[in-house]
Amino acid sequence: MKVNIKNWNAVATWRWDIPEDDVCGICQVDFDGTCPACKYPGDDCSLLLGKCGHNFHMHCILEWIKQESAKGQCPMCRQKFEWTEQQNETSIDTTRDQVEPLEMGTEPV
Amino acid sequence: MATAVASQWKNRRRRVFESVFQTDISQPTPYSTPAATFLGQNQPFGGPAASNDHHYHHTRGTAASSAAFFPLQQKQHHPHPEHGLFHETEPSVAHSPTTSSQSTILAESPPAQPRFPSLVNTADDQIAYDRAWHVVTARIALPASATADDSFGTLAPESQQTPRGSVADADFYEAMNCLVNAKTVLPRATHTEDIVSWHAQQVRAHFAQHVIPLWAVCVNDQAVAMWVNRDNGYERHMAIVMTSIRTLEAALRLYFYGLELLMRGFRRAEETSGSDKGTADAELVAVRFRRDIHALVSISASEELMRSVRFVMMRLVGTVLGIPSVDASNADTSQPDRPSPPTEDDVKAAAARQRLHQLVEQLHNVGLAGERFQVMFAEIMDQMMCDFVRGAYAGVWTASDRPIFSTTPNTISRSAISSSSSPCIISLADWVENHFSRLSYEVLSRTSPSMSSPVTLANVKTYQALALSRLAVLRIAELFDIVLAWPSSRGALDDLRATITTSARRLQLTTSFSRALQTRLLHPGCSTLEILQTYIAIIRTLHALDHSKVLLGHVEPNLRLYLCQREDAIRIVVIGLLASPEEVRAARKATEVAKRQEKSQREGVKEPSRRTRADRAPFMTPVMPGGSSRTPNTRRRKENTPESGPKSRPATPTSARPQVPTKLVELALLLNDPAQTRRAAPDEEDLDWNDMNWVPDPVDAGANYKRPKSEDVIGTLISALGSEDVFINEFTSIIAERLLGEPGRFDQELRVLDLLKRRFGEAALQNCDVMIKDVQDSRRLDAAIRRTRQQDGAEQRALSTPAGPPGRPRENESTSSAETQYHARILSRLFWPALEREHFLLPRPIVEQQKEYEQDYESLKSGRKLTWLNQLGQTRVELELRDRTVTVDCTTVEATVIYAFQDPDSSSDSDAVRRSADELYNELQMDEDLIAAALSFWASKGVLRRLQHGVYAVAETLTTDPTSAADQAGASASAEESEPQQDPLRKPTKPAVDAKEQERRAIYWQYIRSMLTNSSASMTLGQMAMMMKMMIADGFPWSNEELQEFLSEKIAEGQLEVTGVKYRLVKK
Repeated sequence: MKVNIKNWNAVATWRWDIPEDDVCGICQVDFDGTCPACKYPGDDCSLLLGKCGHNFHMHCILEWIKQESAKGQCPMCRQKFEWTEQQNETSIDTTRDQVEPLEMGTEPV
Repeated sequence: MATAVASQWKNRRRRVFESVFQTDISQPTPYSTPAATFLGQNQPFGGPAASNDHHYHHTRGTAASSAAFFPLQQKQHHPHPEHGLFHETEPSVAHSPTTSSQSTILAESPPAQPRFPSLVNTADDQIAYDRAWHVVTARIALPASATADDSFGTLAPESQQTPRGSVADADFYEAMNCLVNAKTVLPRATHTEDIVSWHAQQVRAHFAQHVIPLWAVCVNDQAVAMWVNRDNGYERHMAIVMTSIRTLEAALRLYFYGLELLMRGFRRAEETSGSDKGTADAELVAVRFRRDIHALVSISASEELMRSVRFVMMRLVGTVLGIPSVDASNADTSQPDRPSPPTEDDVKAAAARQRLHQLVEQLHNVGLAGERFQVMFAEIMDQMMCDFVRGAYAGVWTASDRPIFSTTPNTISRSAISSSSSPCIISLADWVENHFSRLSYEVLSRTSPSMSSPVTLANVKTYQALALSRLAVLRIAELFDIVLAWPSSRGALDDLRATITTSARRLQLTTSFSRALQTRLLHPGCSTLEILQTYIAIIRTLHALDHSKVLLGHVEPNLRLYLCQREDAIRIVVIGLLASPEEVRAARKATEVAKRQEKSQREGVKEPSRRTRADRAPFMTPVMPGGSSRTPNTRRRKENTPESGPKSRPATPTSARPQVPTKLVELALLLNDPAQTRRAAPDEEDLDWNDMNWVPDPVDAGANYKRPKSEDVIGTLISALGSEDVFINEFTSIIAERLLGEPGRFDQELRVLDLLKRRFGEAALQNCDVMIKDVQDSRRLDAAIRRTRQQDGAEQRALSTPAGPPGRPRENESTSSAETQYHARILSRLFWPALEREHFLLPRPIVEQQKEYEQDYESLKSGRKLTWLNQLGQTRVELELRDRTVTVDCTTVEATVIYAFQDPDSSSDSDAVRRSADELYNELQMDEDLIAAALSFWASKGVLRRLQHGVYAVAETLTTDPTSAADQAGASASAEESEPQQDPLRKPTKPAVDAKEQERRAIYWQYIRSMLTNSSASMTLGQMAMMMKMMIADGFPWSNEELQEFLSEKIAEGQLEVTGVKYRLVKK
C-alpha cells in the first residue's frame, strides 16, 4: 500500500518568543493575550522587548513612556527603556501612537 | 318466555288499574263527561272496586316483587304533618266529626238564615250536622276504600250549567250549606269538622293504598321487561314514564273531582249566605289542596320512576340541543358525530322538542314537575353543557377545522363576545343563547307558570359565563397537547385567552400545566432535545396566551430545575442555534411532511375527538424501538392510538423519524427572526402613550415585575439554562470545535455570533471574535506563505543554484511530497478553550513540511514561535491498494496511523503489511487509545483487517478469499467487541496519578476547603483560581480547566456542590 497524503491541515498555537516571564509587567496580562485596550492579540497588540530584559505590551509601555513621571525609564528596573527593533515587524517609533498592523499576507485567499 | 311474563304482567296491571279507577284510560275526564253516561252505567262508582280490590290485594300478595313497596307505602304516610291538611289520622275516624278542629272557613262565616225547615229544631243540630256530613262525605268518598259509600257513583259530575233538578244534587248542596255555615245554620252542633281536610286525608290514604302500589307495578313491570329483554332503551323508560303519568292523571282526576264538588258546594253555600268572604278562602283551600297533592305525588315518586324520567329527559334534551347520546353513537360508530346544534329544519329535533314540551306539561299536571324535577332538570342541563363543550370543542384547536355552527350568530351578546373573536367562543355563546337558554325557558315556563319569565337575560349571561368556564377547564386540561401542537393550535389559545380572566383560573392553569409537565415531560423517557423543543413551544404558547410572561414564570421553575440536571441541554441549544439554513429548511420540510402524514392519518382514523380523550393519559408510552417515549407533538397521539396501532404505524414514524430534526433548528429559525432579537430599550416602555393595546399588569404578577416586550424565546431559554457565562462558555467551545473542523466558510457561525453579541454584548464574546479572526488570519497567512514559497522555488529554478537563502533550506527533492498541500491554522492559545496537546510522531514528509512552514511563519512574524497541536486537524489521504485506490478524509491521527502501514517498497508483491498496536505505540509514541480508535476506524473503512488482538494488516485486495472477507466483515464488529475488553485493562492506568501529584491535590483541597469556610461560602472558579495563585507560595500551576476538573471530581465525591457557576461546600 502506498499512502499519498493529499492534504494536511495542521493546527498550531503561537507564542511570543521570549523568556519565561510571561506576564506584562504593566497590565499583568499574559503576553500572548492583549493589553487592556486591545481586542485581538498578536499583530494588533505586539510586544516591545526591552534591552533591559523587561518586556511589555507595546501599548502598555508606550502609554507609560508618554507620562512625564516615567522619564523614559523601564517601570521595572528604572533603566532607560530601549527596545530591540524586530525585523519584518512594523518599525516602531515613539512618536507614532498608532501602530500599523502587519500587512503581509492579508490578501484574501 | 320473556314475552309471556311481560304480557302476564301487563294483564295483571290492567286488571288492577281498572279495578281502582273503573274507567278506561282513554276515557274523557269526569268533568267533561255528561251526567247521563255515568248514570247509564247504573251502578255505584265504587261498587266493583270493592270486590276487585280484594282481588288486587291477593294479587299483590302473590307478586313477590311488589312486597318491596310496602315500606315505601308506609313511609309515605309520615312526612306530611307540615302540609297542614294531612293529619296523622285514619280516614275511617274522620268519617264522623268526633274531633273538633277549627275551620278557617267556618269561623269567618257570618250568620245567615236557616234554610232547612226540618232542622229548625236546634236541639237536633248535631244530628243534622252529622247527617249533612254523611251526605257530603258519601258523595265525595273515593272508591276502593274499604268503607266507601255506594252513593258516590250515582252522582254526576256537573258544571254550573247542569240542571239543578237532581234530588241528590240538591241534597248535597244543602248538606254542604249546613257544613259550611254550621255556625249559623246549626249553631248547636258542637262537633264540626273541616270537610276539605277530610277529603285530603282520604285522598292521601287512597293514594298510599292504591296508587303507589299500582305505580310500583307499572315501573316494576317495565323494569322486569327491561331486564328480561336486556335492553335499557329509551322506549322502555318512556313507557315507564307514560304509564306512570297516566296512572297519576286518572287518580288525580278522581281527587279533583271530589274537590270540585266541594268547591261547588262552597260556592252555593256562599251564594245562599250572601257572603263572598269565604269564597276567597275556599279558593285558597283549593290551591293548598292542589299543592299538597302535588307535593305528595312528587315525594312519592320512586327512584326508578325518577331515573326513567331523567333518562327520557336526557334523551330529549340531548336531541333538542344537538348532543348525540352515548348509546346512539354506540349504535353506529361510523358516524363521528361531534355535538352541533340542530338547524331550524331538523325534523328530529323539532319532534323531540314537541315531545319534551308535552312531557313537561304532563309532568307538571300530575305534580311531578316539582322541586325534585327542577333539580333534576338543572342537573341534566348542567351535564348537557359539559357534554356539549367537551364534545364539540375537545381537540378542536385550529381555526380551520373547528365547527362554526351558525353563519349568522343571532346573539344578543355579540358585542360583548366579539371582542375575543374566537370562533369557539362565539359559537358556544350562540349555542347557549339560542338553544340552551331557549330550552331552559321553555321547560321552566311550563313547570312554573306562575313565574313571569323563568329565564332572564341575566340568566343567559350567567349560562354563557358558565359555558365559557367549562371551555376554559377543557382547554386548561388540554394545554399540554395544545403546546405540543403549536403553532397549529393558536385557535385554542384564543379560547383560553378569552376565558382565563380571573387569577384563580390562572392559578388553576399553571398548577394543572405544571402537573402535566411533571408527568408527561420531565421524566427520563424524554430526551433533552424533546424537552427543549417542548420548552420552546411552551414559551411561545404561553407568550401568545399571556404577553406578560407571568404565566410562563409560574410554570417555568420546575422545568428549569429539571433542565439543570440535563448536562447536554446547553450543548443542544448552541448546536441548534448554529444550525445551517439548509438544515433549517430540511427540518421545516420534515415537519411539514409529518404534519401532512398526521393529517391524512387523522382523516383515515375515525373519531379523533373521542380518541384524544382516551390517550390523554400520562405520557409514559412504551418505548418503541428506534424512538423515545415522549414523541414530540402529534406523533405521540398516533402511537397511543389503538386503531392506528402496529398495523398502520410503521409507515408513519419510520418515514418520519429520520427526517425529524435532531437539532433544535427552531432556535436557528428564531435567531434569524428579527422580531425575536429585538430588545426593547427599558426606558421607552413606560412612555408609549400611543399604545392602544395597553393592558395593566396581570394581578398575579410579582412585586418588581417588568413587562417584557417580545417573547424572546432564546433569551428565556438561555436564562433557564443557568447563567450567561455557562452558555457563552459552551458556545465558545462549540464554535472552537467547528472552527477546527472542516475548513470552510463560517457564515452561519458569524451570523450567530453577531446576533449573540447583540444579546450579550461584545465583551462577553470576545474570545469567539479572536478565534474567528485567528482562523481568517491563518488563511491569509497560509496563502502568503505559499506564495513566497512559490516565488522562492521560481527563483531557485531561475538561478539553478543549489544554494538557497541561508535560513531557508529548500528541498528540491521534495517533489514527491510537494503534492501534499500543507496548511495550518495558527491559534491564539489564550483565547481558545482547552487546547490540549497530544504528542506523537508525524509522518516524515509532514514533519518536514511542518518545519518549513514553521520557519516561514517565524520569518513572517518575527518573535513568535509555533506549538503544533498534532492531534488536531484534518487530512485527505489517498491509499493506493493493490486492487483499488481509496481516498479518505480523516483526522491527522488516523492519517498518521495509516501512514505507518505504508509499504516501504510498494512495488514488491510481498505480503500485506501487518502491525500490532504495540509496535505502533513504540513507533509513533502515540496514545494507545488514539491508536486503537484509528485502527478500528481504518478497519471500518475496509483498509485494515484485524488479524488477532491488536494486530492489523492492510487489506490489499478486497476479496482475496472468502475467509478473509468474512474476517474483514467481522473485523469492525469484533473490533468494537474487543473494545470493552481492552478498556478495563487501560482504565486503571489512566487515573493513576503519581504520588507527588496526589499529595499536591490534597494540599490544594485543603486550601479550597478553608477558603470556602473562612473567606466566603461560595466562589466562582475564577475567584478560586485567583485566590489559589495568591495564596500558594510556590505557585499554582493549574489552569482554570484543570482546577475545574479537580473541583468536579470533588463534586462527584460529594464534598462540593455547584450552583450555577459558584462552588460551595456540601453542608454536613
